[in-house]
Amino acid sequence: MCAASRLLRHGVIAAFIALSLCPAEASETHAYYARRVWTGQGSAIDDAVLIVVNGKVSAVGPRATTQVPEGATRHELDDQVIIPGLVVAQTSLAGNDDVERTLSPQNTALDGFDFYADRHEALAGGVTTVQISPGSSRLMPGVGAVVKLGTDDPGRGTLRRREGLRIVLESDALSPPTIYEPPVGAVSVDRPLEQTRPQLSPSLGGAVAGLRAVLGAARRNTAGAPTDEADLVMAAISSHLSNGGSVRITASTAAEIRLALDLAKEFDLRAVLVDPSDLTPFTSRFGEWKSRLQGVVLEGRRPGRITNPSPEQIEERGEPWDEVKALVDAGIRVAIHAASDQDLEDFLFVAGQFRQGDLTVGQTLSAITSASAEILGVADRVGSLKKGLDADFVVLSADPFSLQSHVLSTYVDGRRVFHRETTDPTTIVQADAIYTGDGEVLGDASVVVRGHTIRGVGERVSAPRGARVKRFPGAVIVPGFVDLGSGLGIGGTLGDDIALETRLGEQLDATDPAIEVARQGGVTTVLLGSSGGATTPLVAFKLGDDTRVVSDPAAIRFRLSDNLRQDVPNLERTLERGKAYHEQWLAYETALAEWEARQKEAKTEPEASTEEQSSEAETEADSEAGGEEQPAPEEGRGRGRRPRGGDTENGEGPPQRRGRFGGRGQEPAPEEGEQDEDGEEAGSEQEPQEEEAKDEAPRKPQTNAGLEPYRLLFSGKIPAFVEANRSDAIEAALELFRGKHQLRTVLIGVEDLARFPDLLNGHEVTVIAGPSMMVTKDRERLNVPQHLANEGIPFGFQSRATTGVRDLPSAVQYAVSQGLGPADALRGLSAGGARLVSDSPSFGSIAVGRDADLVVLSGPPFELGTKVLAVMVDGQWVYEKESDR
Amino acid sequence: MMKRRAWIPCAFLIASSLASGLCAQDEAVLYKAARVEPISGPTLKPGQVLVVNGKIKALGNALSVPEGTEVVDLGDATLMPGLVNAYDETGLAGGSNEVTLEVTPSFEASSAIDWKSRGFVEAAASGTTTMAVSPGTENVISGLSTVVKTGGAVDTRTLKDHAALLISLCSDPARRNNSRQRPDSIYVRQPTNRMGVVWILRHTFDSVKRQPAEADAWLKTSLDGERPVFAVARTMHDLTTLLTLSDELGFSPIAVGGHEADQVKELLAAAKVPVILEPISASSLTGPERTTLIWNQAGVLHEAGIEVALSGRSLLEQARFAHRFGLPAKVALEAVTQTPARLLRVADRVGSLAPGMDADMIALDGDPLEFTTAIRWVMVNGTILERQKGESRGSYDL
Amino acid sequence: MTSKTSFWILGVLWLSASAAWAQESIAIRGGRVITMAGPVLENGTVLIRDGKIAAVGTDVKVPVEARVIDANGKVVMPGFVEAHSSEGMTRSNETNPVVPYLSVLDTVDPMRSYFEDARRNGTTTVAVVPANRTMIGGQAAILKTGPDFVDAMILRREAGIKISFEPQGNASRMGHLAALRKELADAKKAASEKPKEGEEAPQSPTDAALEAAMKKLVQGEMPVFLYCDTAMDVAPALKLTEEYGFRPILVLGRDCYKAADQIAKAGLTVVLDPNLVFWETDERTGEDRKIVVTEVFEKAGVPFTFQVDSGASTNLGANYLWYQAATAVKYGLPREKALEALTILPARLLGVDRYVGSLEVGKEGDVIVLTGDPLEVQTWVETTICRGEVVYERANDAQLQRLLGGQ
Repeated sequence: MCAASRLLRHGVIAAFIALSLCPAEASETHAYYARRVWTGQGSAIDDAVLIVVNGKVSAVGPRATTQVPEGATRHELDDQVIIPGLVVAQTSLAGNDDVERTLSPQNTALDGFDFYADRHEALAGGVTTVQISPGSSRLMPGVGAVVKLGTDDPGRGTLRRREGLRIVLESDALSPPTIYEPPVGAVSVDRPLEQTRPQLSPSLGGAVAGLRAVLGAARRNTAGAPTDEADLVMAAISSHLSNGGSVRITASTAAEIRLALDLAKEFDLRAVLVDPSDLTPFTSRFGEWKSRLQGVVLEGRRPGRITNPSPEQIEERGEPWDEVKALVDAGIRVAIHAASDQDLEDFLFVAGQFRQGDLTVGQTLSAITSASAEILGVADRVGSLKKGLDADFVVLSADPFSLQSHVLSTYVDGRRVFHRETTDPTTIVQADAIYTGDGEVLGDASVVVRGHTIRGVGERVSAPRGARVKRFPGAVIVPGFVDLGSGLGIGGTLGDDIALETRLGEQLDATDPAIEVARQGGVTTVLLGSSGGATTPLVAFKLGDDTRVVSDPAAIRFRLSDNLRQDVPNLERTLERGKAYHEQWLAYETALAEWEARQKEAKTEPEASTEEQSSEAETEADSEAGGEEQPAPEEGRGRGRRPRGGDTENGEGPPQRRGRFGGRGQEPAPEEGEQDEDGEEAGSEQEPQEEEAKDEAPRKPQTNAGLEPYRLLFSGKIPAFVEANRSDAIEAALELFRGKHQLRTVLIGVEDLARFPDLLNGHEVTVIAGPSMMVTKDRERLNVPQHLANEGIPFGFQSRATTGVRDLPSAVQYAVSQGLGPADALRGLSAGGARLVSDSPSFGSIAVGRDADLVVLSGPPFELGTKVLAVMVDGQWVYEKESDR
Repeated sequence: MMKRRAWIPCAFLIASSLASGLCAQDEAVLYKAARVEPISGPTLKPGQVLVVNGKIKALGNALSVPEGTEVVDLGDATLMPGLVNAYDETGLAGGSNEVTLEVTPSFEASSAIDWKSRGFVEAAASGTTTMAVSPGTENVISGLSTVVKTGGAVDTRTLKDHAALLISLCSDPARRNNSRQRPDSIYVRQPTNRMGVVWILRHTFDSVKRQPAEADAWLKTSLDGERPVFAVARTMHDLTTLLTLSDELGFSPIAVGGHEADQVKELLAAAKVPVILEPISASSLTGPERTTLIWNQAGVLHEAGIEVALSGRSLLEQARFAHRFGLPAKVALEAVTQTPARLLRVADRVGSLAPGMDADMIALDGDPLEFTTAIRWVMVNGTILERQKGESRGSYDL
Repeated sequence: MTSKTSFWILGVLWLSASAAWAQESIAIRGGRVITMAGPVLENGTVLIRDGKIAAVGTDVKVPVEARVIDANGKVVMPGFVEAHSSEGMTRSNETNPVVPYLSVLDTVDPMRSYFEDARRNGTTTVAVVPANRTMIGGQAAILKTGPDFVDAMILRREAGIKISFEPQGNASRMGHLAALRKELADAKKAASEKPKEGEEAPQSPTDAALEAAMKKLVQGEMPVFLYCDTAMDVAPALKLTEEYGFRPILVLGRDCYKAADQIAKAGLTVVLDPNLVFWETDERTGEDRKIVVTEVFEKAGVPFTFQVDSGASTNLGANYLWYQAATAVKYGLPREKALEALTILPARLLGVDRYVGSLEVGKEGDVIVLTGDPLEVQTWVETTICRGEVVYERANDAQLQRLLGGQ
């Protein structure tokens, strides 16, 4: 009669057939390349590819041998690992609301499951398929189901509408209202008041007796005898059993377990044993269990909720994995489920704990993938990665159950339904060995880099979960190399005579192409200074993309030419002047310090006594001033005045000065602030003007940019680089810098060592070798670094080059080939070199807190075959050799 | 969709006919539309609006702008000012009523605004760009409302603080105080009936007149007319009482609610009391406090020569129904833009399109007053608000 | 309103006053006729005789005795059809969960304002269906919205049975569905068994009625109104439809937009929740989202019709069927589709498209005369004709005049 609606109906049926066939997406092919793919069947394929066509797995195998179809979208997961989507053998995602009746097998969990709810947590844990259980606090709460997460299409999402008629023997399920009282609703002729019925007794025995009766009856029904369809319960049970539906029995204690198995045997049920905690008594029977049980589902929990079990609990309650090995060995399928749905987020960890039960990674994995899929009877759709199955898989940062391995993304039917953005700035660099630069060598270690510093070094370093991991298999990590004398960084060549006040740091040009080249050799820190000139400054900076200045000046370079008669006196005068300037400041600072101390006291005194206090202070001040200040100013000021005339930067204010000394601790600037402060203090007190008159703050000496560096030099903060080649020059240098002034002295050149090898013995000096490591004088040939190493004289290297800086390491390599020990060579090129410039250099070695300057080598340093793979400066990768892959 | 910039060299500008010294680094965008409703002036067909640095620089049928000015052609769209809601409790975090006092003139809505409140998002999405966030109606004198923008950076959103003083001449203040309900409750306080409400008002206002010195500053300045007094009055008798009071105490109120205003329209007109109508309800015949509704309230009041503003969640829908029920189209549009802006005394910033006004505009697909017309985008201070995620199906898939 | 029309209306008044024009013929002349079956007729005429449409066209000969309504400058349309409403009843829910034998006819109250509003807004046909809080509710009936006698209003008595998937009281969803399945299973079984001679079990009258009704249900003799409260109800609804071969009419809660794709696959037409636009907050991201239900279903390719929400105090206009359509148009539904959703589409969905839903010869004389194009802000229903009988005239709608501020 009504064609339209009939048409509709057919439409519906057609649609349902369609639902089941409907592919994940329009015809699409994807190829996922990963370091390893675990198929879920216990085995793993290294360097494998997983091919997905229209949401189904079409192939999985080694990268080499597997045929990748045309037009496939490639996904390089490089170091990551693929496992099948996790299958959880029991959850309560269908809600846990129980009905009155002890027996309500007509309830199906599927009805309680919302496909449109947000399953983000579970997917984030890599869970793609779950068994959903009806309630848990009744003897027979209903029938479960198996569904997929991450799809809002109920048709495709439902793997099994009815799975496992649930029976709960645990004690907490055996306390239903003893009398079932039907809801008292409106009563009428057609709806008489349901009579109340007694429920099964709450004792285990009673419950089981009841079950026997029911199951027996159901079995008889299925045997074809006239059924009493009226009884919903019977109908549900018998139909379930007759359709070969399985029964999952939750039994914890030994008694419960025994009864469970008896039931299974008596009515030969396709039984699944759930949450057995006390398995030990049955280990001998596992053999026969194999034939009887579909499988065993064990419960794991996420630690953190720490409880205090009572002694007897400790007594009987073992760990859930105590017998797991035995079960698996007996050939019984074992699956793992999480105690609570919140734990699904960390399901891999929950399952991982079962490795304590001596399961292999493969076995443990299959307990949450293939095995559990088999128990649920959905192994033909999910649970392992092989041809024809749904493309449900999980991408891990490392092998499953390995520490710090976590889910990166989750795919369902080939569609990515979860992805963890790694926003964490931390990088973990891993290699076979790390040479820290201080002579230490760590095997199979990694460096944790965050920001521009190193946050951890060692074998199993702690790092945030989201940290990016960079693996260099078979590689070696060494500190960034240090070149103690180079000419690069200003985009050209440096003029010869550079005035000492010049701030080379301010002239650096990050775009200097030489930098790019230099760091390819592994050099990350250089000192820049002019090669000529009498006394010139050097700046130390990083070869990062922004040339970060480490210290400026980093050293002062002096030169003793062969014309000693002229050079020595000059140098002497210069040093004297510097020293005087330095001492003048020193005096001022000490005076100031004391003065402040006095001010503090004055402040702390109660107001009443300020007068005496101040007068005391004053006398005190005088005496001290007398003692301290008098001599220093005489010559200090006297000398200090001379340069002042010419000094242009005379009137400059404190801020600039602050800027220049880049916060190197001893700048005089802050004192000013102190002073006004004190001014105010004074003001706030009784007789301000008197106060000020009495105890004046010491006068600040004039600043002389040209001499500032000497303060650093004489306070031992920076070294003096002294270039001297002829033996007499060297001796003069030693005499002047060490003997007279006890400065930190670093010799450059020292060619005459070739003739007088023990020239430096007994002197506290260090040496920069290079550019040429072998010096020859009068046919005497000397491997300078090797010689120094053996003499126990600390040394570093320099290139005196621009782009040539790149070849410094190979120059050292040559020295090594000529007898220098690789360890010494590396030290000189890194930590050792750095120490010539500063006592606690921020660069030059791989240690927590130091700058993240790393060089990744293809092999041990200085081996002829060794190449530079990658270079990191201040935590930034600045060079990476494109991989052959 | 975000605002982009157009770099305009000065020299160019001087040359160009538009002698409004645009400067380099000005962010200038020219919007062309089939129709522009400035509200304050005649409709422009076609119309163009030049927005510079979040303000309206110029508008006309055809503006000449320097080379390089960004031009956005909206095709058949209609541009009109962002809507203004003169009375709303949206966005007040944690309740809008004070339950321990009946007179709280110095309570400021501004101190309780939750800028992330969904109310603002919804309002913005429905075209409302300016909203007076007001304290509740359960206090006789409930405090000061604040005029805010519904979008943009939080620090730029307050348009005018202490915009209006809210008082209630309705049963609301009495509602909660019914001592028969909870005799022992701390909530039991005056008033418990209408007479009480009025007495407290009269008393308070009186004392302000008598000892101005001790008077609450906000209250006093409000009565002196520094800011409007919004009086919630719905029923006929509340409205008459309001008139009596304002007459006695000499302040010029603005009636809020006005469900029965039609019954006293002559009086209201005579006293020149504007009315902000609470949302129209077309589904029932009685309103709050059992007022007898008429749908065409706005139209009737307008005919009687009373200034009418509409309020409610979706102002555009209010205007449409008001128009359907009898309010002339032009007036209907004014009642959700210029009029409320004027009542809040922010008409110099919002409520119409004119040079110097904030660039708060909405672009519509057609006639603003047609039910079938959708809002294309909403602009606050020259920035087009991000379209809400989820307004299109797109964002539902995983 | 032009003086001309007012004159005509006066005429009409005089006529209708003079005698009872029960089954006279009416000619609506000179209007723009949107027939919903074929092209729009400019200056067309619709002739109704004996309550049925006798002719539609531009060159219809108007018999002398016919009462003529001048639709000049106006728009003539078929009366609107509302596919699901529980408003016309005094008590729309039943406490007992399984009452398929009850009929709404016993509780329809023609005096309810719903019917008046319906006539005022052009709705001439409505499926009055038991409300959503009964598992297997009573039988729906399809009624005209006028005149004022239930018997005179009936278009179809047993127009369908209501099934609600929303669990009531403290029942769990599983329990609710389990119970529902059992009822259906039993009914199917009972239906398949042919009554054997001899043991004619003495049944109580209600039992008999129950069985009969359930039989109709499971044998697909009656359409089934399936109410899905949330998206997760859709799947079982479709499943049952498949199992029992229902003639399904999906009545959706607003949350069901999530299941739009599944419904699209099932190729069904649905009745949308009155609440067409709403906001929700994603509890994880905390982001507010505006959900436009019509947009979602339109994109998914699901044909839909509307229902009104008479108690709509919050969302203004949701108590007008035409307004729902206008909203849909605002959010991208083509105008023609919107008009269909008001007329022929629901008629088809209810299986009464042979009688109503368009202006075609032989169909019932349900015609509305609009002052202008439908869905426009200033358009009012001027005259509503139900089965050839004028059941509403704006001119003498005293209440409307009061509401619009007339004295």
